[in-house]
Amino acid sequence: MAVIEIKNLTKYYGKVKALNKVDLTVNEGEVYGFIGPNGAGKSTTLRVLLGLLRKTDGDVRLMGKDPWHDAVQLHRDLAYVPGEVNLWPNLTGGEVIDLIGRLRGGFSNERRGELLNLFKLDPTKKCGAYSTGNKQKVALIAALVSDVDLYIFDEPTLGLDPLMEGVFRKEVKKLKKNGKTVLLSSHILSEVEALCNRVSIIREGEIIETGTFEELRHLTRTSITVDTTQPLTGLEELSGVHNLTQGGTHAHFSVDAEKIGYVLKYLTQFGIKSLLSAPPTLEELFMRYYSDEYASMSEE
Amino acid sequence: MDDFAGTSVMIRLILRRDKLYMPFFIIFMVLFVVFVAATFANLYSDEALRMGFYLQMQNNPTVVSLLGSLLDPSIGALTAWRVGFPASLIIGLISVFLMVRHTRSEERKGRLELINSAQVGRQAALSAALITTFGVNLIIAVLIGLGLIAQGLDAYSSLVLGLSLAAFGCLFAAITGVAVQLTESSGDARYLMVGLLVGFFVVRVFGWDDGDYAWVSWLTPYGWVHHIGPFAGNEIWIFSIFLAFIAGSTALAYWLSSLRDLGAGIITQRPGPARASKNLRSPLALAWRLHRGMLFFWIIIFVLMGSMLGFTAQTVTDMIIANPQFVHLILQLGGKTGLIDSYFSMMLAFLGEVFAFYAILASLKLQSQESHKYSEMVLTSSVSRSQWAVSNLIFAVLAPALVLIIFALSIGLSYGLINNTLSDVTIRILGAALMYLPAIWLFTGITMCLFGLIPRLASLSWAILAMIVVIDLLGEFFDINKWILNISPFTQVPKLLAGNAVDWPIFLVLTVAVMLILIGLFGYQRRDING
Repeated sequence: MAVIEIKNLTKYYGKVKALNKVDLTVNEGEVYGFIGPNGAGKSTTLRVLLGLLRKTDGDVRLMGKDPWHDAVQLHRDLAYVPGEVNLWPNLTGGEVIDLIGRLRGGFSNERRGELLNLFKLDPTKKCGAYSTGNKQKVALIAALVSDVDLYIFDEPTLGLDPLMEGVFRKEVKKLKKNGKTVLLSSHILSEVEALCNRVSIIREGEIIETGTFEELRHLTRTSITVDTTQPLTGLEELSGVHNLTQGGTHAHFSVDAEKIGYVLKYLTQFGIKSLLSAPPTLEELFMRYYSDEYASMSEE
Repeated sequence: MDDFAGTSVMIRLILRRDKLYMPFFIIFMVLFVVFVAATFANLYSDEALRMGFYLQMQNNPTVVSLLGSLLDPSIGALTAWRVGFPASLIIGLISVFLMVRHTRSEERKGRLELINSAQVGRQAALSAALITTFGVNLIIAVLIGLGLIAQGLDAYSSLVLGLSLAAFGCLFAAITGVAVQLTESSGDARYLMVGLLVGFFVVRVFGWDDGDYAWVSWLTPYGWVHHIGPFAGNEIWIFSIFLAFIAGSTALAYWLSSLRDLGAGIITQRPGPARASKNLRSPLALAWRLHRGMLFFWIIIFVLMGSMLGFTAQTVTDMIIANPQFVHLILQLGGKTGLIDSYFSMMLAFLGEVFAFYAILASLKLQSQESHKYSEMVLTSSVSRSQWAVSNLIFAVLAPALVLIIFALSIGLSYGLINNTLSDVTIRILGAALMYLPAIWLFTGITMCLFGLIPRLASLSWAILAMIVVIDLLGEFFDINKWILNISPFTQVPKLLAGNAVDWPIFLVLTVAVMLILIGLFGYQRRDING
């Protein structure tokens, strides 16, 4: 069953088009990654999904309901951590966790204590005195403390140290095990790679790619480092080879997925001493979509 | 000198950030003073007429206790007398606002950390804030001087008038420099300073010029401004008192600033509770938590003001009755009761806008919570927009009313206790005070309407209030166009203590206020939440 179903979502801010025909489907029990650079439209999509923003056009369903009209009812079953956490400066972290948890319909004190411990948060400090990372922890605990069906995180590890990032990952994996649905927006790719089943990539308000990692890897290139007994020649003329650096019997390049077999066959004639092949990382995938420089480089 | 490195860059940053605020403040202050002078010059150009006005006001202890004694019947002196208190208060508020904005607020928001990590010394922010705020005050002084000279008034005295107000503003800028070292939050610093501005006013009324404790007026900067007496003596030696205190406060501010860590206050914040109280579980409870500090502050201030004014009213009326010269005045006003009523009536008229100020302040909590993204945390849990907005609105509507009622009761009680006329006076004052509520709520309505429809313009309600204040001030003493006066909702308030009856216009004001609130609520349901 689809927990989140977005079709053709378009959002204008005045005359500026922030989202253009966005499609996004998240199924129950799935941890879904929503990737894109700053300003691509991640937060706007999430805020429409939460009923904070009014869509201009398209169809948005959250657990089968309209997030604009049924916002209050829907919010009982979800927990949200905003991209930029700001909290009342004169309330303590502990008070905010209690308040938000109660407004969402209650929570277990045991779980609250456990999370405070895991995230090493001092709940007696006023929010005005917390660092960015600590404010983020307050919002994360306030969300994780609730036992709901859907968790929406907007760049949740911003400002957290690597140790706390690890704690967060563990908690998300626990949610996944318990069959919860998670929508995770991020531009930290290792995080998404470690946690998510499927991802959507958004750029300038448009979804440009959707699928599992395996599917996405197909679209990109494998990097190959090779040493041969005889000097390598003619590599630069092979189709499907990119970013070639070469010196005598050593070469490093990336190759299109569908040309790997052909290129390997070509290499064997020089006598392969060692060959190292690495699957494309999400970083490379990302760069391919976002970096104009990279695009022009690979065209050369 | 390394501590001051980067001050000039910081000054330029402040000028850039305040390129709208500063000119607005300067123009408002200058126009206000020059306008009063122009009105005196137009309406009282005849010397005999002016003398009559002078005698009438001078012999009215009510007026003298609130605005100070009139020193001379010339146009210049009348202007200085009339603007002395309100202009001091406004220039004081401006100075406090600018200082807190560029010191503690910046620090609190973490921006100063960014700046101080560059080649900027630890005292640069304080120095830049002091220099620019002093600068704004001096520009106001010079422009007021020029404006008055342009109307043919004595050049020297005109400048003295401008400078007396600037001295008051600079003094409060310097004291704010101290206050922002003490508190960790910018809100606390602001409360401290506004409390001080009001406290000095209470002291001033206590030490009113014709009373038994006139010497007390020397203990408050409002008194100093008055005693300088522009166009009537020009006692410029009093500027040295100002200078001494400005220098002393500035030195104290620098010293305290050198002692403390960035982000910390001299008064350290204690840790708070680890758990929220059982009651903090609804948007209304949250709103109470956020509004209560401000509410307590206003209650304390107005209990103080009310009791002091009630007490002073006693001595004022005693004095009028003891003086056979005023018999006709007493008769005209209907005996002692009439006298005291007219005193309280005038005081209410004088302070009505202050409650509107509170109404705007409380309503704007909606706007500030949204722009700071605090509301987002609540709205994404199971709280509806209207629940959240109404929870806050309750305080924007009821809190000013509560403070007004407590103010009226404190006046009544403190006056009544001395005169044994407790119930009678108290009830009459309370009734008269309640008539101000529709006009006060109109500003809740204006702010809510703007917030619901065009949230980024919500602060425009300040400008509207400022305009109404000017209209009311002019209407108080001058015979200006009735049509202009009618714009002000306070014109429509029936002055029950002055014998007015309740009439339809006040119900019109009430209806408009309610409509505006509803429009705001409706708009808020339908728009995007900013973030």
